[in-house]
Amino acid sequence: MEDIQAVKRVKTFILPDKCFENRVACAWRRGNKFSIYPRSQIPNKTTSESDNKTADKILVFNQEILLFTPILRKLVNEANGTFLSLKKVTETSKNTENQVEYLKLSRQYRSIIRVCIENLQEAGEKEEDAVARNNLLSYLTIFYSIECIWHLCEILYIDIIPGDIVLPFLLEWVRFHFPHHEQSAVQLLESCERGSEDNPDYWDTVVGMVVQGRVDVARALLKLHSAVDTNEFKLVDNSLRSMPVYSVYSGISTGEFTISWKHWQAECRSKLSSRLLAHQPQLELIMRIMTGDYSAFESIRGKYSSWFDVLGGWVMFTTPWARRRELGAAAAACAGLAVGGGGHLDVMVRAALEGDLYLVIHEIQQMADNGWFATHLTDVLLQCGKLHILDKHQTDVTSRLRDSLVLEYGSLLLEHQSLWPVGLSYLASVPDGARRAELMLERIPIRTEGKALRVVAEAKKYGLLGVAQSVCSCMSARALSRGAAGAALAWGARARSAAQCARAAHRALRAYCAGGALPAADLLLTAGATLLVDDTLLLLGKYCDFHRLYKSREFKKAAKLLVSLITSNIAPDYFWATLLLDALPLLETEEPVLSAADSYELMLCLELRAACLARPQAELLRLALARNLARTALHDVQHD
Amino acid sequence: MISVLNTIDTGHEDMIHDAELDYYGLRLATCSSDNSVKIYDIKSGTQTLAADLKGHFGPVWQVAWAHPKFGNLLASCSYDRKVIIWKELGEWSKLYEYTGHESSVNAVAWAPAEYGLILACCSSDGSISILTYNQDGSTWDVKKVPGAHAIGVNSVSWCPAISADLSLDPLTNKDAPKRLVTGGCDNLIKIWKEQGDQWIEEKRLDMHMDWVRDVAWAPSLGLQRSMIASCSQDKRVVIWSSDDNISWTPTILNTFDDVVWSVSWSLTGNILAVSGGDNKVSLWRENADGQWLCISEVAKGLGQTTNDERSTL
Repeated sequence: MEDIQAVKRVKTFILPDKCFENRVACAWRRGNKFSIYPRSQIPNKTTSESDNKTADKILVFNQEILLFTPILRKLVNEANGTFLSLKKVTETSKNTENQVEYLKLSRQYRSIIRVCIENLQEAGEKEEDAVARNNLLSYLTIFYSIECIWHLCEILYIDIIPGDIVLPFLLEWVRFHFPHHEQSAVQLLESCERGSEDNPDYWDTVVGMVVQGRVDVARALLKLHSAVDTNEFKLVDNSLRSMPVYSVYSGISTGEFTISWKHWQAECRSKLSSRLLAHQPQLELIMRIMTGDYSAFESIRGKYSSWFDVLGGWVMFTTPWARRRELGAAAAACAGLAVGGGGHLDVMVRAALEGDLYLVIHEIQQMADNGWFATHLTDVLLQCGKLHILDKHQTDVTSRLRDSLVLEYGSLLLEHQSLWPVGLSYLASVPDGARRAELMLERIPIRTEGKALRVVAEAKKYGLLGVAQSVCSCMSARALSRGAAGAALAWGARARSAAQCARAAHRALRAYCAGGALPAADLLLTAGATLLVDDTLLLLGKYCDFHRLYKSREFKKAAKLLVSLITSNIAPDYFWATLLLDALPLLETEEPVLSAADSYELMLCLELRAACLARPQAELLRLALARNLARTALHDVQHD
Repeated sequence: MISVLNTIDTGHEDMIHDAELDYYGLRLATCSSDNSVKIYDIKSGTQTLAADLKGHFGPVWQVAWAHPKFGNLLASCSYDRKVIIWKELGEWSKLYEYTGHESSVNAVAWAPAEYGLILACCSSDGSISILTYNQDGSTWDVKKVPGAHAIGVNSVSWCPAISADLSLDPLTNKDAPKRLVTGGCDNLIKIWKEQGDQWIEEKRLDMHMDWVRDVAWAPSLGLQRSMIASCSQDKRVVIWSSDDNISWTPTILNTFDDVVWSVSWSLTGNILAVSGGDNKVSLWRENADGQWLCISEVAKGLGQTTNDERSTL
């Protein structure tokens, strides 16, 4: 673990010279963006230096994220679905054998990659801009490698292989990822001409088919040669035909198979040493390959793009009974054929074959796919129980590795303006994810109410109530700062924030005093218990209700409510005048609606708060109260 | 691959001292020796000047955005000994002006929003001020800690509301004490804790051999560990870590070629940006074994054409 991480991968980015005449500093935006600006703490008293003016630029940087390319959206979304299904599978059946399910899901991932590759190919063909096409091609290279490694890992660690004899699967892998020879074989066979050897690819194709274990195809191709009836051809054809092929279901044991296979190869060897094929060097080469002759493989290596092209053939003609865990030697032998150093893919294939999954994952992380591959593959392998990684103290850090990958990947997606809910679902599946989700979700830029509601809903879905509240509070503050008291009230109530509600309610009451309308009446009338969050909000809500009652001419109820609002003493100073004067029309109704006791109460309040009212208004109110008292002294109002 | 997303021409007439992005990363506030504070709206590659705030009569050292749930609030501090809190209500205007310091105010920092609207300021007069907004009276309460660092306080940073603490589970206990860290000209780093209505010195961290220029408390990700980064004129950056906020273990991140002026944590606290007199910004990350590795570096160009606006690998 140590030595790999010691490899320094520092990348230095050079900036235009003139940006940093002064000292620099850095300010973070969200995760993958930051700004750099020239900064100094020394006061510069001489402002005459004109070059300073031009130099003071701020540069905003961002890391380019491959996954945010629109064409890869589908990949991200669909992989998320598979990731969640995998999570469900592991949760529902902790103790039962789930290999079949895991295999299914691994294949699902691979088919997602395949679709992505096809989309990229299609887009690449259509693309006319050279730069854009180049980009698409480089994405293609990345995803080809991903597909290739995933398939190999699936065979080696996830697939269910009868008898653990890996050869047929290995051959299938080679055929799938290196279809070049098969394509030319199809062409040759389709034209079906005697004398096909004139085709410059003829022998390479035949050899290619032998190396990929397509014995029947190789034989068919040999039949197209003009000299097919000679003894040499019959001899090779016969050897190819009689090669024993192992199958678990054939009823013979591996021991028996090994004996008959060794016998067959010995025969091939004796034919070779008898120099029967000396006049047909190509046929001799095929025969040497069949006997597992290393120098024969060496001689054809140059015709293949990678050493693992010939891996299937090597295993087939040296140890066809090899089990999954026994491929290390074969990998070493084939890699030894390589000319020059290997890239990531070489290292990964070799490490996978040698069972060093840690190295595989480490190399995968160096691919420019922003963690998509490493995260999902590690997750599958861990859930299958195939991943065991120890640190230098020999403690198992497998799940920690997986968690940190998921965490990083999820955080990355949270940066995206529309993929953020996908990112959340990843963060929700790891122990430390909640806090990170909280931190990042709160900072998602919100420009519309719809988006705010969406963020709140997602936050609630994952139990991040703090975020939901904070987003609502921010929306409330924003609404208030642009003067929309109604919206501020609605968001404040959603946030259940007493402070926000109070601020918005005050704003609304003041606006009403200044001659405006009451905002969000429908909201307030249905708010119910939410009103109890704050006194001012309660006052506003009840006051709205008073208006409703008054308008629907339910004067008695309205009067009762008004009296309780006045006597409860919760109104702010600036609102007393409004509240008291609202009593005037109720005192003047044909039928008295305010009782004698109510009148006394109001009189008391009026005298206590006389300063709130202008003198003539107070006089008017006193008079009205006195008259009402006179009306009700003998015949008081009956409240029902 | 990192690339320049956009270049903002600030139009300041003198050196810029600070540039801070708001909570959502949509607005940029800058301040300069030309006594002004400017606010830009940044939208997909373009920027527009939203406000040019004039109110200071000296170089403005630092700006800080408050949490948006308090509305759009920006604090700025200046050589003119003042701290100004600006508020956007349709237009930007002065909400409050604090003049309690006797010398240049070097840094301001808002407390975690969970605590309410609280601003910490530190000054060359050696003191720290804590301004707390009082909702009922719409007033600001001031608490001053004199003699915090001899000669002057250069930087201040708050401990996240959720942080390591042995005795209190911070996730459930909102009463976990408020803390902040300061760095000063006495080469010391001090951790302050609120006790009752007083701020007391809880710990002093002694490691730097010259003025401490910047301190930054890392955002917490719910891990039971606190981290503080500090940088100094002694060219070193130190990471202090603690499991209980009481005993702190220093790790020297690196010794640089020049004075280090600022340290800044990414939002999730996993990357530290270090910048200094060597005209470089380097990004650092801790690996699984607790070692700090430089992952990238942005440096002044050497012999490059000036019109090459795109960075190269």
